[in-house]
Amino acid sequence: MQYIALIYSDETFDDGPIEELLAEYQEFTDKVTAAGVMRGGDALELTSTATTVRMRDGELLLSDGPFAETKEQLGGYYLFECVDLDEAVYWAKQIPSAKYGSIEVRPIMPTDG
Amino acid sequence: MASYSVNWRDLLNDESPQIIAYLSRQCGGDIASAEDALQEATLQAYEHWAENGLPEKPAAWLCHVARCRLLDKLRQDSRDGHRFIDGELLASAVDPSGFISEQDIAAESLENNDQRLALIFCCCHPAIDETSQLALLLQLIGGLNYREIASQLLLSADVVQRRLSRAKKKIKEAKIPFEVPEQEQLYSRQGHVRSMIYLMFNHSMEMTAEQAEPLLRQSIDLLLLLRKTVDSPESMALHALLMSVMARRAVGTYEFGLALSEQDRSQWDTVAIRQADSLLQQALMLQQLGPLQLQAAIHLLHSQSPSWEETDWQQIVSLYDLLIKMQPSALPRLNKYMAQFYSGADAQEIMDKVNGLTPELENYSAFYGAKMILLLELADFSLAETAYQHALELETAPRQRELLTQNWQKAQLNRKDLHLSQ
Repeated sequence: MQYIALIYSDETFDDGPIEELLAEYQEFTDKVTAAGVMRGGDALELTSTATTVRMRDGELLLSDGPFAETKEQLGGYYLFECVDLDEAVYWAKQIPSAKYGSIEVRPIMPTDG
Repeated sequence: MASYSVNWRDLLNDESPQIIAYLSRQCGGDIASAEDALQEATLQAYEHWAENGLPEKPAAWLCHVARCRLLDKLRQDSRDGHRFIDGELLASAVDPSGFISEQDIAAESLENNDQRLALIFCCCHPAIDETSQLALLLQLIGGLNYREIASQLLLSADVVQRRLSRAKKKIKEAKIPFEVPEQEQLYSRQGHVRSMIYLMFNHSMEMTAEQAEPLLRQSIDLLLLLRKTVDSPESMALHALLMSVMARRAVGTYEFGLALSEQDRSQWDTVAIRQADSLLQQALMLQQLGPLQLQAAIHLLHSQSPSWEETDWQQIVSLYDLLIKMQPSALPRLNKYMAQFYSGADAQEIMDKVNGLTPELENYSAFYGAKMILLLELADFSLAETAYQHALELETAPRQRELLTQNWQKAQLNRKDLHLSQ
């Protein structure tokens, strides 16, 4: 069973040196990899680089910025292989940003193959 | 046509929670499919039992037939590519010896494999919002329909239906574990499960006797199951509290609706009250005092007092003091003030204290009910009537409304007596 952990936090919030945070993330990534849980994951550039795409009546509509202005922004994700929600939560709570941001855990919809 | 008689309501009320828990667990937490399968089995039983008479073990019969229906559905879904099957059900079905004496297996599984606690831990998982948790319990354990749940939770039946189906979908699709958690998790989650059982019990006291009975029995059953898995002084105290509440009901009748001062205490089950008391004493000896132990102690002081007049109000006041230290909220303070009033404190003085709770309690019926009693004592009848109206407006439980009206009418009679004697 796969779960995605979407990492939301306030990207304007400056929580000390970036090197420390990156080291924490590296440590966490190593840990989930060693546990055989890791199926993928990436960090995203800031929402100031985002472009929102919509097709309306066959016309392409582009707008600058994320599709919704929120207090916390999507900054990255992990993809985990877990037996159930409790295990997914067990890993998600250890994601460094969980201490000040929010992690949304969602099951991946199963498809054939 | 064979003749048979069965009380369907009792049979389903008593057995459904266990069958649904068992089947849901077997198919990896798909509660809705387990319910559908049981419903189909029940329809089949109507016909089959009328033809062939009542089976020896009706619950096992239902469970077995429901299990076959569920299996059919899972196979169909898997052929249609709707789902991956990872439940225990299919694994057991491919075992050729699994179908030899299926009803016996079903009977044994039900008896030795009670999954109701797993069902409760699953439904009361912190990933489900609390109102939906309670709605799930009232439906799956209490056998209430949407409308009955709606009236308990002050929601519309549509909203209840949506919340229930959303919660069941989440349990299935997010794979909320359908099991009693282990060690660390068990300890951290047992308190919440216990309070949900208590909440379910409290709701049952506001229902009609017919609706309430299965829920009362199931609440106590579930608490026992919890205690067998992980016991604690607080669970023991809740058990004592529930026993004491049940013991106060007159034999064969339903008297929750009567004020404590009006009940015929000779009808109370004194043996059960003594048992409850000894259980509470055991809990207290473990010396980990908690709010439920204090509440049970207060309850038992009432249950053991020979009459309303002889109630040990001093002791009750000091127990409330301890409770307020642990739970500094307004409701125990209101109860403490009223206990002081009953122990002979000046009504005006108590009235002033009670008025001090207005900001916290102005939406509580019990607050106005208490004010009504105090104002009657102070002979301020017009303000008492206002308080009575307020209390009635805020109270939604029919039995509590009845109780309020009884109190008010009694006060009116007393007033008439007063006029006559003057």
